[in-house]
Amino acid sequence: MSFRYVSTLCPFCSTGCSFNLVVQNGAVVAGGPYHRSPVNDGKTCPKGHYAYEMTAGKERIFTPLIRKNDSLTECSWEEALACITTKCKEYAGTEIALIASAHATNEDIYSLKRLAEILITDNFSSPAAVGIDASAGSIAAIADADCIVVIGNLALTHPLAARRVANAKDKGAKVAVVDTYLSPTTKLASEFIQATPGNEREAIRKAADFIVGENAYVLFGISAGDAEASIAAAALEIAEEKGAKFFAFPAQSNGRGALDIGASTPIDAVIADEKIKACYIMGTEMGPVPAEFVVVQDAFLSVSAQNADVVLPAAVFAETEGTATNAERRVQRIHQAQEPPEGVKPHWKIVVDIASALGEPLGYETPEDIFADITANIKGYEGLTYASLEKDGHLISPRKAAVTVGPEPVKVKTNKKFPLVLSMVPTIWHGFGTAGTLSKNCPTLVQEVPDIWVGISAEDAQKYNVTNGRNAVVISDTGELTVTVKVMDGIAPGTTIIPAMRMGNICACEVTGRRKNCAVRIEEVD
Amino acid sequence: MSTKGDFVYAWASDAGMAERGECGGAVSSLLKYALKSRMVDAVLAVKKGVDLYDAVPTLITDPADIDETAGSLHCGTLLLPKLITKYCNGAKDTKIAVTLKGCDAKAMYELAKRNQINLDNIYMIDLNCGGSVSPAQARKMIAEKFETDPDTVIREEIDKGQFIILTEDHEHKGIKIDELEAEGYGRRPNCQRCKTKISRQCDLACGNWGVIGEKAGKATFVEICSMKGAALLDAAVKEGALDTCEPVPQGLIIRGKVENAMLKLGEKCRAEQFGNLGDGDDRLKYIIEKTSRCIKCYQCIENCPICYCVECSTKKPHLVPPGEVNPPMMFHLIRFSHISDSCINCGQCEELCAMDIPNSLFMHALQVEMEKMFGFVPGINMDLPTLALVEEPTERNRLSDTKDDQIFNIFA
Ligand SMILES: Cc1cc2nc3c(=O)[nH]c(=O)nc-3n(C[C@H](O)[C@H](O)[C@H](O)COP(=O)(O)OP(=O)(O)OC[C@H]3O[C@@H](n4cnc5c(N)ncnc54)[C@H](O)[C@@H]3O)c2cc1C
Ligand code: SF4
Ligand code: SF4
Ligand code: SF4
Ligand code: SF4
Repeated sequence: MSFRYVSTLCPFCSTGCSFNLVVQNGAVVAGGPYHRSPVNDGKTCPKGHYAYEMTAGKERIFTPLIRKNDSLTECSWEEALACITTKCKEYAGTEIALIASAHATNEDIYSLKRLAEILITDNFSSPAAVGIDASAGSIAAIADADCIVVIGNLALTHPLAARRVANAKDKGAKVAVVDTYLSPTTKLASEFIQATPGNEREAIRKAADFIVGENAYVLFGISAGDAEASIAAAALEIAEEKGAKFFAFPAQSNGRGALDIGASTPIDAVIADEKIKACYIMGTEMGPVPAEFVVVQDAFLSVSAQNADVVLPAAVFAETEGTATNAERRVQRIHQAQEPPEGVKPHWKIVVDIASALGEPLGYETPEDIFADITANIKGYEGLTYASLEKDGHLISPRKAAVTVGPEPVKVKTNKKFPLVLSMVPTIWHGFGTAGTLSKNCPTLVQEVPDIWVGISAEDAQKYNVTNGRNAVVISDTGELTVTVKVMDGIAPGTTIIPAMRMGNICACEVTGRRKNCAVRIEEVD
Repeated sequence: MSTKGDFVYAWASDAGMAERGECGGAVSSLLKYALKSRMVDAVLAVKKGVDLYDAVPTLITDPADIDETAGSLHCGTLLLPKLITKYCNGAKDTKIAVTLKGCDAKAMYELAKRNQINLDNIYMIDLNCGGSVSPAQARKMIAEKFETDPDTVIREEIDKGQFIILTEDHEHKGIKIDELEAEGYGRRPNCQRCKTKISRQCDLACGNWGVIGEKAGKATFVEICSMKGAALLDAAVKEGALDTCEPVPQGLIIRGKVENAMLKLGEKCRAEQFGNLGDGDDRLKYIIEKTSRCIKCYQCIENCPICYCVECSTKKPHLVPPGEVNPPMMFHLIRFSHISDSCINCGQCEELCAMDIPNSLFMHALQVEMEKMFGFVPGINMDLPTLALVEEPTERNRLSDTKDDQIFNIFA
């Protein structure tokens, strides 16, 4: 009989909540509140509550795997490393891409940056590299705002940041929400402005009229629009025009850290680059990757891993020491609660071993060694130590928002064959995009939303003959998917929504492809 | 030999412990003695984490480790009993001594009557409780109202109606609790409503109220509330762990007066807070409106000492459709109907609510109404809760006499 509380950071979204892990006989058995947490005052959303379950996730991998005769077979670490080093030498730097998870620690990501240097490539990216970087001081301070415009479904993407909007509202702030449907976030608002694919920028402009007051905020969550950066640019524009503070919340827990460290080559450019022949993926779901040679290091057998040439078993957040940087740019400690299972290594350690195998040792014995390098080289991190972060972490002062304007959003063209607009929306249960691998390994989260669904207005349900709770097939020009129908209030006729979740091969992307919106039709099936 | 109903001033014989302890270290000495003498296998207490706003629950088996738990952490708003249930097998096979605020003490009883804790194996040490302050709230209050950097505070306490801080430069600052609470600072809202100041359902009730004269600040006032408590105290004194003396008679009177004043204050706060909820339909509307923001994080359920079902009704698909956020009102109705009779007003469901819904206020308001109707007072003894009594003939008679079809007409 014994137990111990270890406080650590949530691996899901960039709000940066901390909670306790309960450790018994060396193993994580539960989560517990951390009343003293600097960001979230001991509270969490369901993902934070059940994150501990992923330590025992059913898709975890415990041995390296290597592709032989077209199937992945178990192998030793030596064999896996030997294969990687031999292969790496066959490609020129420009032919190699390295993609870091933005859910990994700063130390993990920094070590991968060093590996990119060894392999002489600039193709170092992460899913957080979408061209948006804006923090505006502390999240807690949002509670003192007198006017807030929220763009996106913050209550589901960054629930504990949305809490601050609720706090401000309770104190009398005006709140407007721009979203694709009458979402839970709109419940926190006095004004709802509907955005449909293609008209997001106009919807945001409309919200500009709403901004008054001394202490106004524009909060940009994850956009349901495809041209995310240019939608963010519109949001930044209205913020600047009205002198409001501008906050953009990365989807991933350490999205800000990934950018700070330099995993910032636009991810879309890396994916589209046809010169790339070898791809090294650290702990992030990218779907099947088409490159000639693919290495995946991950805690879970993601779809990318299933299609890789070499797979290396990595630790989960609860098994690693390190730091992460949240949306407000607060650098906080991640504490190890349990040892990784035998044969499993933390991400940074795997990279260190590969560098050594390549004959270029990095000289890192501990994550703290890496952090020392980070503080010496990364702007804003100067002078920090693990000890200095123990309490409240360190809040790096806000910088000028940086948004790289990308392509303009385009309207989804519907026609007789595909009469409905489909938009991907977040759920609170599944991590957005790449974090799906994490939530999928937490049974309680999965149990809430075990299947993918489509939300439709009562009017359209009748028109297209589909029934609440029954199965239907959603068809687009790229593919189709069987889903459960949910007839919902607050969805505009002509539009439908689908959760951005990935459960193995069940993924909204089956219908949308690489887009977040597209035209579909919907048919009931038996 | 002491006995139930006795009062003593007590302090640690060991000078180091007397220094480390909040008021003479009697409690720590008792705990250490209980562990050393193998009266218990483990002690559950709290220790300071990153700073004095951070109370970390700690299960101790080595007597030497007791030293680091000495002292009161007034931002220790956590609830220890559920940890005994979850991680110590409900003390079914081990003996544990535990420090308890009033709400913790009540939680022990409610868990025990639900077979979640074996009280026979537990030594319950009450800490008289004037209230606790959430860590974030405390830091905000110190920064904004005391205009002091919370990181420079080395001690905080509530004394003589004031919240007092002591800084590194030995500067004392005090502000009246009434004033702080009127502006939304101060103790947790549930603490403001609390009327459990000295929990006599424990074995020993310990606090500084009533310690006057030369022992002021250097001893703890111990009220012996059970023979088990008397035996522990006597043994600890006999083995030289603890020194005691008779309380100053005037101290006893003062203690009674302070307790009474605190109870009155609690009553006043209840009237105010419950009053703000409105009555009948208005109250229901208010509750529906506030709970409609819920994001179904399940923390209010996980941390409630009354919730213990393995298969929670809120997770049954025919009652609450899975995955729906915001969940329908049924989610909250299930909590209200399952818990309200026994709510002990510990505040966890509110302090840990992701959307700052005043859950504890709602539940406590319902509990107080239920108490008026059925007379059941939660947390003070092993009496079964109202829900276990709905089959009682009296309840049947009431329903038949009044032609009321509501078993719990709590909104009337
Ligand atoms: C939140 C709080 C409010 C209090 N308010 C009053 C009051 O208004 N009037 C009064 O007379 N006395 C109050 N007390 C009790 C008083 O402060 C002393 O704890 C008591 O007199 C015993 O002193 P001691 O030196 O013997 O205890 P110590 O030897 O210092 O031992 C104290 C024990 O309490 C444990 N403890 C500390 N904080 C907590 C916590 N938050 N929850 C559970 N256990 C904890 C410690 O781990 C330690 O074991 C309060 C205590 C707390 C924790
Ligand atoms: S809000 Fe984000 S960081 Fe906080 S618990 Fe939820 S997923 Fe984790
Ligand atoms: S609820 Fe009562 S016993 Fe519990 S901490 Fe608050 S005042 Fe103390
Ligand atoms: S309902 Fe809330 S206040 Fe009441 S006992 Fe449960 S957690 Fe405590
Ligand atoms: S703690 Fe609050 S948000 Fe979480 S489930 Fe309970 S009421 Fe809902």
